[in-house]
Amino acid sequence: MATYAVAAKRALASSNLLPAVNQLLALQGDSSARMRPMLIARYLSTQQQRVLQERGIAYADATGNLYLMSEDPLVLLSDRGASADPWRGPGRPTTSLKGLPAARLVRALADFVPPYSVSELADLAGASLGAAYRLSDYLVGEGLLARSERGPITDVDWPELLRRWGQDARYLDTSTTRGFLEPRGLDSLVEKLGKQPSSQRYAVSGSLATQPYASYAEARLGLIYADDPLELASDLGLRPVDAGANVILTAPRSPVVFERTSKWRDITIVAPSQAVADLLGGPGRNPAEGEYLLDWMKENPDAWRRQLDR
Amino acid sequence: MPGADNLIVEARTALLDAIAALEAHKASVILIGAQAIYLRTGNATFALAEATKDSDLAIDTRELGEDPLLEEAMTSAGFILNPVSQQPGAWISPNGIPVDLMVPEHLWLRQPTRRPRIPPHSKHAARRAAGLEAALIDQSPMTIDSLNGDGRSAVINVAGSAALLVAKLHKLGERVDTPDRLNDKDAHDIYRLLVATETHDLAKSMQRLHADEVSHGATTRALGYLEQLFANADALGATMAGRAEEGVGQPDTVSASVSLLAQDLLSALA
Repeated sequence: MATYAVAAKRALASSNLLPAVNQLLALQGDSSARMRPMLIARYLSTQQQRVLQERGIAYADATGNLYLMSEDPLVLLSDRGASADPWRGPGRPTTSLKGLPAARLVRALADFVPPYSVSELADLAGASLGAAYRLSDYLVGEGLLARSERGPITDVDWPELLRRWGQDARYLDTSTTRGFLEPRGLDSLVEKLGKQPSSQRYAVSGSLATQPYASYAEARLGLIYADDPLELASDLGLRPVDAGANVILTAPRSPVVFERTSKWRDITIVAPSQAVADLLGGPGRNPAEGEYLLDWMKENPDAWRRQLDR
Repeated sequence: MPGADNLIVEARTALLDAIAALEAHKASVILIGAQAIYLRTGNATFALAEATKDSDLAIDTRELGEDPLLEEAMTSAGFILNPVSQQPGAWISPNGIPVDLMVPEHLWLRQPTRRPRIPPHSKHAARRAAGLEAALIDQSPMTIDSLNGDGRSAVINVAGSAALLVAKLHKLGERVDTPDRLNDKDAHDIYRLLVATETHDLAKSMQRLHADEVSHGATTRALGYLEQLFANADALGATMAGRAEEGVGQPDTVSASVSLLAQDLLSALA
């Protein structure tokens, strides 16, 4: 007869494998020598399986990867399951913050002060529960999020999270992004946009969105999200240009840009968490403006982060 | 010479001194040049700071009185003719700030020299210049405030945006063949005027200037210069306007903007 000490993990980031292994080996050490260690997880990568085999640790995952051996009684069970994490398919990214659910979740993690559970996060963000779990597991692994065991999210490193998101999901990388020129300058653009009875929803980001609270310098490059950028450009009399653009129009990758907006000079501007990510991943002097805004956000969290209504 | 920081302040003081000196001829004096451009475009913001030490005044000799004589008025207020340039009409204040008195060329078409004879005024008191005719037609009074906090102010006729555009275009257009006399800032001033004035309003004033016998020729030439120098982003004037913002602003954006606005104005007039 063989007895196994089993540790079951839902998802196991590479950085969490060794702690889990050590935990198992410790169990083996202080109790009966006949307790054998075994690790069970939703998915174990080939690399993780090799590490476990080298240490004589049995394992199984939900895709069918299995390794279980014992000398007394003699048992050797081994099978191959998936070699890629099926929970991490296209549209379900957990290794970057590019995806659509990531945009909603990152924004919610920045905009709402924890603690809240993962399911509350999903509600706040308007994302699925699965996506919320996947992203929070990923962020815990990256050290950007703290979560008590089976409990709520307790802390978020939102400045680093927004920085990473800004780099992973640059609006400049979307195909609808185009440069336009308002020949009378951004002030005139703001005025026109404020007077314009908007035929569609839009939200102004970038340098202009920092003007009410953390204006670094006079804005030189405007950024406007709209569902139909070309139509908005035509409504505003903006001219498409190859060189010398002073305003960029783009269709949002995620409609989250329209969440938690505010008004300034009669125009709709995005939340600081959106503006800062766009600036940090933006062109020209945008990154410097983003750093300046980030500093302001760190110093004035009460001015933009929300407490959960309970 | 005063430092760059208070140049604008000193220039404004010299302008107020000159306005006071020419009080008796107030109806015949019109502020033109950079000071007028800044007054007319003050609501718009630009990367390139306003900077001028000159005050340019156009004299409408058609109704100009005889008393006091221009040279006496200026001299008794402490102005002297610039002894270095020896140009007629190039006055300098006791602080060394230039104030130029100029007469629109059209009023002296038959005079072959740059010295208009405006008897009984001295032929040295003012010089003639092309393109100022529009300022005789497109102008309105504005209050000029001192910038040094002494509370002084005066009301003076100030050329309108269209007239200032015509004058600047002449200044640029006439110097195209002598590139060392071209100044990027003049092209940037044209950009300022085009940005700060609605195309529709500018076109209306231009039509009026074109229709008036006094300014017809100057306006026609100015619009020719506008097309030649500004109608596309690579044209000389548009390039110069952009270059003026090198290091402080956005040269490409300025060049593209000024050419689009020039095209808009030309289309509105077509």
